Amino acid sequence: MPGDVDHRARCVSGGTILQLALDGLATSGIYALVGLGVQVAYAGSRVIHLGLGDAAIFGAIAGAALAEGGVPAPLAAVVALLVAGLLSALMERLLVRPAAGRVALAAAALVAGGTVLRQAVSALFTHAAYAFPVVGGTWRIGGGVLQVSDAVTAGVAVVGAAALGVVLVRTPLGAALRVTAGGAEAAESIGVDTRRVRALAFAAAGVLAGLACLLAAGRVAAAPATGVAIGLKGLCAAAAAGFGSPLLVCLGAALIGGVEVAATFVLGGGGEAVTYAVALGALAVGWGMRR
Amino acid sequence: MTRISAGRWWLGVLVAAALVAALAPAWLGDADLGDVTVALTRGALAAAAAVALAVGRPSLAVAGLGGVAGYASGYAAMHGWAVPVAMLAGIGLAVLASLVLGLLGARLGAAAFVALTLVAALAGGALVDALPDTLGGATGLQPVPPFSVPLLGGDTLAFGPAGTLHVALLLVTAAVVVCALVLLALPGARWRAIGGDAERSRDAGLRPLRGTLAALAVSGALAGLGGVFAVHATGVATPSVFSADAAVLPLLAAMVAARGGVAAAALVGAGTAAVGLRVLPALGWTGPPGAEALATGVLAVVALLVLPGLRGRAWAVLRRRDGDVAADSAGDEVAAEPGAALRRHGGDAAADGAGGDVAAEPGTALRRQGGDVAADSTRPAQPPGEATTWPDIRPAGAPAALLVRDFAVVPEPGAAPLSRVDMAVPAGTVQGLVGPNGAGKSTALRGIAAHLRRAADPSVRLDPGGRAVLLPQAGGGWPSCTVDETLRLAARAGGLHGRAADAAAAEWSGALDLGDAGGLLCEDLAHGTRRRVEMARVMLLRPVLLLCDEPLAGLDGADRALVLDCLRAAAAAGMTLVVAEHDRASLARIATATTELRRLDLEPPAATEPAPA
Repeated sequence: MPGDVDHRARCVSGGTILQLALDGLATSGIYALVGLGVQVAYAGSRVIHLGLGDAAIFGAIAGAALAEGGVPAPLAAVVALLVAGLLSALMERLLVRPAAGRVALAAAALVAGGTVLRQAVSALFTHAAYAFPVVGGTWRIGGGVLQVSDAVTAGVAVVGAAALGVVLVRTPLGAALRVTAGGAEAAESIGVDTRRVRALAFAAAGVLAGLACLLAAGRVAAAPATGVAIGLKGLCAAAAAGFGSPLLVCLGAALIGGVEVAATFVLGGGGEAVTYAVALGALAVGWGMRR
Repeated sequence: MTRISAGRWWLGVLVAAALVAALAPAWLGDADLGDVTVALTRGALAAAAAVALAVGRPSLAVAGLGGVAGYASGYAAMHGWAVPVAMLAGIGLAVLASLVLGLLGARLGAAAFVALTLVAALAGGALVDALPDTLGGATGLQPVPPFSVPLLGGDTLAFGPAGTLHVALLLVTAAVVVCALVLLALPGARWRAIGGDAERSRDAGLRPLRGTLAALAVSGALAGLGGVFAVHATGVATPSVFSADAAVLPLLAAMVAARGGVAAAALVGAGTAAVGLRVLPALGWTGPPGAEALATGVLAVVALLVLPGLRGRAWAVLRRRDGDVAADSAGDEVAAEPGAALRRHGGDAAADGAGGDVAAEPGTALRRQGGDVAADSTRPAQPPGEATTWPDIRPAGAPAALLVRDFAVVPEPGAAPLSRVDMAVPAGTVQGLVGPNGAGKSTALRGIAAHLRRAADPSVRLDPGGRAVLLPQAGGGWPSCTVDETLRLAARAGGLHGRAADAAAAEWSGALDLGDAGGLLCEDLAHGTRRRVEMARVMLLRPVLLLCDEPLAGLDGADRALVLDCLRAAAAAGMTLVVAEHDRASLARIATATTELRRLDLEPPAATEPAPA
């Protein structure tokens, strides 16, 4: 998800490094939001939300299409987040709950559901890609070009992550989620409605990932297939942290986002493969260490 | 109806379907035959996913592995390699990639492995996208030469669409049949044991990693076979095989096939692909979603509708039809008339299910544990004074003493200790381990077993050494194996071979009254039967130290007496035992001494006392 970097220019000035750093920060912020969403869904259900990226990109493209059609951007953003949250909650109801605790079956069903969603968004929104209008403009520092949208993305991601942290630690919903994560039976024995918590967790995951996709669409126009990539890299960020604390998820996202920006700067198109390789390793090592 | 009998039945259906497909050229044109071949290769991918699933590795990378094989084979064939050699090279590469995935995910659970394999598939797609166009790139690799075989003298035998279909049909069907037969036999039982319960497998010395890698190599080869034929039949290798869309069909087909095993998975996979490629377009479906996505989505819905209720409903019906009845599911209602058999195999009648209503004949013993109810109406209690004759129960090693010094019982690394254990257990004796819930009895036994396995801590020592085995509190046998398979595997893990192992398994089966349940899957057994299987399993492993976690929990009088007698006989034969148990009276009948665990947050440290006379 790196922004505009001129790969022909290999003169790495201080400004270029600053540009790459901001690019990396924004990219990491996007993956952190998705990773936190995956983590919230996982905490509520022990299911890996492999359809999250598709639900989120559906909402983001819907929001971007509304904005392109003249709807005020803030209103379009709210609609985007609502759609993403609703679709994610629907996936929980239709694909996860019927799996009755079979987490591998639920994961496979979520992938299949994501495929259907992806085809539906392609049919409903016929442009190849949609851009969401955010604050434009650039700052030129040294040899680097800093995008205002990158700064906005990074800032919103930090605020979003902090807000989630507050919700998890300070609110009854957060407490219910933490109790459910410790064991559904134990949670039910003290009166927690785990079904409701699970549905809310998936909805919250959809909103977080929808926000991430909206921010991504503000940097580079988003196509339906973008959702899978963003969703899986966010998942790897959460898995690299062993589904630990939100801060660790953000660090995992920083690793993947940083590698993506650096690898794309150095290798161009090959950077994506390097990023996936690192994400794969992070998932295997981070999650493996947790066991 | 067990996994075994279902698998054999589906093998016959597969061969019949292959014979019908072989007639396809009689009524289909060349262009249609290509689609049939592609559908067939999707069947191979589904079979590959079923093999991986059997060993507990649900994989979304199977289509990607086929893609790796297809790209490699296509590229090699385009650069002058003989097509069969190029295909073999491609299949070899798929095997290698499958092994790498197996190693990467060695420490991951099933759900995590699903995620890992999906990321791996997309990584493959990113890698292909980054290739220059001459190597396939984003546009795909083409034109890939059709299937052909070089002949002596420099000639080449070229195959048209019909010939390619027939060769693919022959090879894929043969490969699937061989894999299905392997999975139904003892090597496959080993894989199913690992997939069903990796911890028990590790404890029994089945080497889960080795078994997993062997199964994944077979899975990779099947996927590769499908991948290379798909590419040579269509003449193009496309990056779409690395997408999430392509990834999900094989796994869903394998899941839906469930107990039908590899053969059923191949049929479901090929059938779903044929619906997406030919049937829906022929019916005029243009989407969205696309025909293939729709077929896959319907398969997902079928999986969600059928699988979670499978054990409780569909299979119970099949068992009833077989005269072998069980209902195991939350919410199932089983009302039996007085005298009706709920489940009969060797006299066991059982209905397991939270919320299930069970009415049993007056006079039958009802066992109830955590919502599970089992009625054991015909297995008589052992007459007083009549001792069971136990098979050879001697441990495979010199009798050993267990020394545990100030061992901290911790639920997970870094956590505060629940309690501390101090005990010296002489060889060939039974040490009781008692304490309130939460004191860490189970955790202590697991911790001692783990420390002995790793030889990591001088505070836990087995002198002079030997195998220590844990008898876990829950379950019994390997869930996806039959009772006979469980016992035969255990006998081999205990150091016996061939007929001697089978004979020992048969002896234990008879001693613990398991003979008539031999062909049933362990996961389908009633609690008491399952615990007897577990007792036979651990005894066949012939440990010098047996750590028993509540071996009497949930058992009725007859089974309790049998288990206690077995443990006493094991100790008399030289086995050292530590038995954690809530039932102090029963424990006192076999224990030489008892250690009481006390919760550190509530009471003073532990003390060891001799058992009351």
